[in-house]
Amino acid sequence: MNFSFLFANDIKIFFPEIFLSLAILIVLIYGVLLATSLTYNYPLISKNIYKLVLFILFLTSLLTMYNPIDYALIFQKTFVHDDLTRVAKLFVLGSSFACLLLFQSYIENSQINNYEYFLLILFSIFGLNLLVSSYDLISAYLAIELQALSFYVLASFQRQSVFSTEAGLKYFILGAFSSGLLLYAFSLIYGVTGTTNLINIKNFCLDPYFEGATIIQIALIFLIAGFLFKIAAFPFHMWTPDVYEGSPTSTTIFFAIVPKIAIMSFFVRLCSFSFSSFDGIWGEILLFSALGSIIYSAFVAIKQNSLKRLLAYSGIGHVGFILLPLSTNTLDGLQAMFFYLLVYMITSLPVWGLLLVCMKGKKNSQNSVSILGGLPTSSPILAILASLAFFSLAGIPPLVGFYSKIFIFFSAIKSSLYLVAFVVLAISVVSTYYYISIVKTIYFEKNKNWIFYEPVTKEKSIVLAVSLILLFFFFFNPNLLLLLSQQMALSVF
Amino acid sequence: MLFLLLSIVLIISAILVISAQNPVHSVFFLVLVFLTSAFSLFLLEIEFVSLLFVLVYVGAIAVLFLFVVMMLDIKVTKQEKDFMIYLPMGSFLGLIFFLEIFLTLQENFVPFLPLSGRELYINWLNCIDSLTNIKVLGQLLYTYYFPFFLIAGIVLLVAMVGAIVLTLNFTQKAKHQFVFRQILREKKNSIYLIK
Repeated sequence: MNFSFLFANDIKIFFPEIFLSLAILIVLIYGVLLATSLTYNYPLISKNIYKLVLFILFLTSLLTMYNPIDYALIFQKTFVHDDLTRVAKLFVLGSSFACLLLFQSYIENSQINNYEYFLLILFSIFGLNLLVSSYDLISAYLAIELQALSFYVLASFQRQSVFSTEAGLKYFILGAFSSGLLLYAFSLIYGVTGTTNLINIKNFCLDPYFEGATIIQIALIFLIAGFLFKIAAFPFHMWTPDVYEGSPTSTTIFFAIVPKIAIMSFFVRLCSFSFSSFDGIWGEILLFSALGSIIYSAFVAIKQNSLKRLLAYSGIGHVGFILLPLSTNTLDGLQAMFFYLLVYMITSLPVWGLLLVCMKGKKNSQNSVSILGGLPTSSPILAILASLAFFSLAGIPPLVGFYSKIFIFFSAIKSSLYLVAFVVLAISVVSTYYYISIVKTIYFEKNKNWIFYEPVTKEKSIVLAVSLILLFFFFFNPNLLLLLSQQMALSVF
Repeated sequence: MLFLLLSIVLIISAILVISAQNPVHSVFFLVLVFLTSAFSLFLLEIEFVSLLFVLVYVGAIAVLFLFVVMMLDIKVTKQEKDFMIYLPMGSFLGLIFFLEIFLTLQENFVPFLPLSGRELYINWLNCIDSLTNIKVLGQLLYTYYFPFFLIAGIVLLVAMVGAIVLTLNFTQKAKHQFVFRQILREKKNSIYLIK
């Protein structure tokens, strides 16, 4: 008997992903068989599948957490397993778990009865997990396509609604365009170096005899453009408000919270690891994009009436804050970036959960900011939670959002970007203005119309409470997040 | 010689794609472009890509275009007179990009030799291309890089699930086909009175 032990250990390390993919396939078969069975009279199994999906996510995060091996390159160096992938995967899984808890009642109320919704979310989580751990351009592209394809469908899931189909189509066209840019960049890199592996690319770029520098520079521009499309940063942000507004609110929450950390962790690997010697080029582009998105979102968000659009613009601003420390290409910068990402995910949960509370009824008519005016009388605790969450987004001291902003300023000043730090500081006053104006709407504006809120379910209240407690806890004891972000930053290099 | 002939046909049909009056004709010319490019790739011994061209572009995309064109029922339109207004800007951008690639082509796309300046001994017998393109790809894809193959399969599954979710209607108004009822239909029970 001849066995090849070529991938024997790789499969052990890759076990969470294998479990996730097999679980998806089994749940899909289960759904297909049960939902079309005549004997059970075509049952609605979306609630069933929802609970299964939660269970699968829980098990996958357990498998990820207790992975015995710390660092390994697996499957012919196409995937990697280290601290960055472990923490990022855990945050992807955990945040999507929280998102599912948040928007389950919304899905039930808006009559999205297809069980495929949860399956597509699971597919996209699988894609994001693969993207986090990919160490090769081909595997990264496959993972990006996997998550993007399921996102297109999720965005246009309410096919009766014109807005939803428009959002899906817009997202599809722009996503396909950005994938084209990425592929062109990958093909140029492959043409010059003859490899798609990240560590081999790094070795080529560090080699003094390497003659493909000009082509690599052109490829980097395409690469950065493609990734900025994916994370909705400044010159490529146009689709974000429309897609966020048009798609079902549950999908919007998922888009806003979950995928950023996965895409950013691969992007950081590409920039700071593979193309580290070209940081003069991508650093400048990212700095431009970061400044642009911070300034643009601050000034455009003031004029917004729709709460969803406002949150979309604020998301663009946060992407700017994420890109700013990356452009410095230092360890401190990366640590600040990961800290900001983790805090952003925790802070977004109550903010977007608040939006779900406002989404009463089938139509998204109650979408303006002024609807928040009735919150203190109908549910004072929710009003306090909302204002605290917006304070944390603005970065006001007794909440952890303060640290995440100040670390970014520190990292900018350490790499002597004084002017940039000053400009961003000045602009963040403007962004604080519109966050605080929301708080003003909550407490000081009397609304004459009748306002109805969605009742808060038990799961939703647990998610909101836990995220609020975390916002306070991490202010007084940020060591856990600091250690996690430092681990992530260290494992990039 | 054959390559030149094919490329001439390619360029002529590519021009005819945009200048044809009838949109159906232009789609057919598009198919011809794909076929000739597939042939010329075949001549260069890039079999896999050329077969992909025929399978994907001719088999799927061009047929899809043809369906769309035929279903939209576009009449034969007269050629717009201001067709040339896009020419200067487009050619300018294209020229810049072409020059940028062309100037760096000579110095960048050279084989990377780590021992530059020294004579390299190459055993040319090892360099004989005994395997075809497709065989090489298959040998790598099904052995060392099997995760890619599996992930690509899952991507296709997502596309299928998405297409079904977005298009399948479970309403009563939709026309369903009941196969067993069609089979059970006979001469006796097919004629009946409606009051």
